Amino acid sequence: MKRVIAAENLGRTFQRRVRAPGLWGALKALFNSRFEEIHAVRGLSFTVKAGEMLGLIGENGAGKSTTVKMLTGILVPTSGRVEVLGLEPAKNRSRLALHIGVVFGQRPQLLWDIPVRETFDLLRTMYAIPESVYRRTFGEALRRLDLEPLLRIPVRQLSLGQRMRCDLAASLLHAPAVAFLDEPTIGLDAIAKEEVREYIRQIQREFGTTVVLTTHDLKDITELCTRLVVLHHGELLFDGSLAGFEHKYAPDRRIIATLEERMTASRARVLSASIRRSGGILRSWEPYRLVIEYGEKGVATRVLRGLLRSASPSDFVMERADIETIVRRLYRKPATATRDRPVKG
Amino acid sequence: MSIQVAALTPVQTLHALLAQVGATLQADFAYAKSMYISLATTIVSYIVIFLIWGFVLKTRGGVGGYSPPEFIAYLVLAAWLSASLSTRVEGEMAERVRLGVVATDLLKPVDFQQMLVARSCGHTVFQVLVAMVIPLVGFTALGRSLFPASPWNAGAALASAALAFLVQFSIGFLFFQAVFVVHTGYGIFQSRGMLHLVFSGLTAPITAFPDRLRFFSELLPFRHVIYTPVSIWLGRVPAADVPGALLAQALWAAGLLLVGRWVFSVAMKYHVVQGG
Repeated sequence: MKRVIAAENLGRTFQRRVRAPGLWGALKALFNSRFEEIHAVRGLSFTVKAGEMLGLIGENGAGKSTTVKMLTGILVPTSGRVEVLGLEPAKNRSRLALHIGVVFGQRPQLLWDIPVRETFDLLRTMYAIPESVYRRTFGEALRRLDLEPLLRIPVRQLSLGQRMRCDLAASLLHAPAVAFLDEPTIGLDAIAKEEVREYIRQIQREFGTTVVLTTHDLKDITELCTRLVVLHHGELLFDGSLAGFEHKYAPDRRIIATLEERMTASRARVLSASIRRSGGILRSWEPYRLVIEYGEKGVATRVLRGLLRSASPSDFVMERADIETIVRRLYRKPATATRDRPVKG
Repeated sequence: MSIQVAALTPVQTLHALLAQVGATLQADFAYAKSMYISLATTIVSYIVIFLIWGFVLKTRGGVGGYSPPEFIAYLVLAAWLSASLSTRVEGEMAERVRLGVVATDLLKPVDFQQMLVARSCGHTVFQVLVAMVIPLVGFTALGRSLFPASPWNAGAALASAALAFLVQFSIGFLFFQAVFVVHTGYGIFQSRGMLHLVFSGLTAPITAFPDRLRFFSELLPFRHVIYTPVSIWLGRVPAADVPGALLAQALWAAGLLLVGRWVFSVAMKYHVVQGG
């Protein structure tokens, strides 16, 4: 598979004006300018192959949008190099734009004052979209995103969710080779989110589009992406498969038991020792509830046996941390950067 | 990475730009009422200019080689041209830079400057239609003095007006780029408006200016937006000098467009699209 994106040691530094708070601070800043350097992205290296669906995540300010801006060419990196479809984005912005689709969740490309249909007509001409492609992408958008009733409405009268659906369709109308989707499901209800994900899947299947998806809704990632890149404070924290991510950051499974009899401190100590011998850890306990964690495969049976012997559970559930929990945990306490697997070009 | 990444052909680019002109015009029709209000305000300000000059002309007779009827005809045509040549795209883009929405403009497959020319063209077509009220009222009041000196003058003045559009756009494009640094159009477009008001010949023919002001007016490109086309229309530029005047306009337009492109390429190296 061809490599369509290659970022090598990519970095972007901003200067931010430092200002004391309040009106006095604003006045002082008129005469005394002080700046601080913000390293939005540092030493970021990764590649993306044609047809891959990559999820780019990170907490607010992690550098996701800055990375997307550099990949699309609207922001010039301060260090490193980047290539998209063999072009240096910042130097070939217009040319590259013909082959990429971009959704910035908060910045619609739809013409604000006129009906949605007119933007589609403009983009059709502007991107010189062949009739056969337009019929498929536009038809698919009408069907999957339920756009038909919206086409005659001026964009300014659409709800956020309606606008997002139209904007996504507009961005993928020319069946781009690479789609950068920055928060494409922002403001959508659960059903609309599912429709959007299905539409992205459909376009990817049909045209082999490479998708770089930035989102805070991790369901977008688990439903669409096969690979995950996690940024933290502008640096690469993880690059690999979703399974690899779960394995690395959440190998633990949990048993949550509801007890019939009240658990006392002394019984909990005994139980904790028993569970430890079985290979698990009593993570927490309340009078009628226990949380046990274990990591290795095959430990569950031993732990359960010990639990049934030492306590009297009326019910228990076994669960594994979902990706959202892992990410939440990771944002609070980041680990060092890792690659799940080497990314070959 | 050996992937064929074609660009738009020149014909496709032209189609794209024409489509942009059409879309902008269409968007303007959506806000026609706002334009009427703007035009009404503009007309009131022109009436004030006419009243001031009416008083001056009454007491002094001709000014700057213009007889009173010629002078008023000049002012009407200057007002019409100024109301027709749109500067709206600058303000729009300033707002888009401030809010970071410019990102979507920068990600179009056509050249950014050309796209803004197309948008400005769309606005200008709309404003030409709306501002037709000025020559119509002027003709009712002044009659034939508004007519071109000859069909040849009319043709040359139309060519000059087209070049005036480019000069106007290229000045605006340069001013607009200051927004990349200061992040708001406030102050920038006030300065640009004042320079246009003073140096373009909107308030009076440049020949009527005091010597120093006239000297600066002739050094700057603003006169090619209003004074040159209107003077050609009225036959105030000798026939032999008309090609030279058109060439000067064309050189200013080309020079400013090129400088604008260069400044833009530098600005983009430092510009940070606002917002996450």
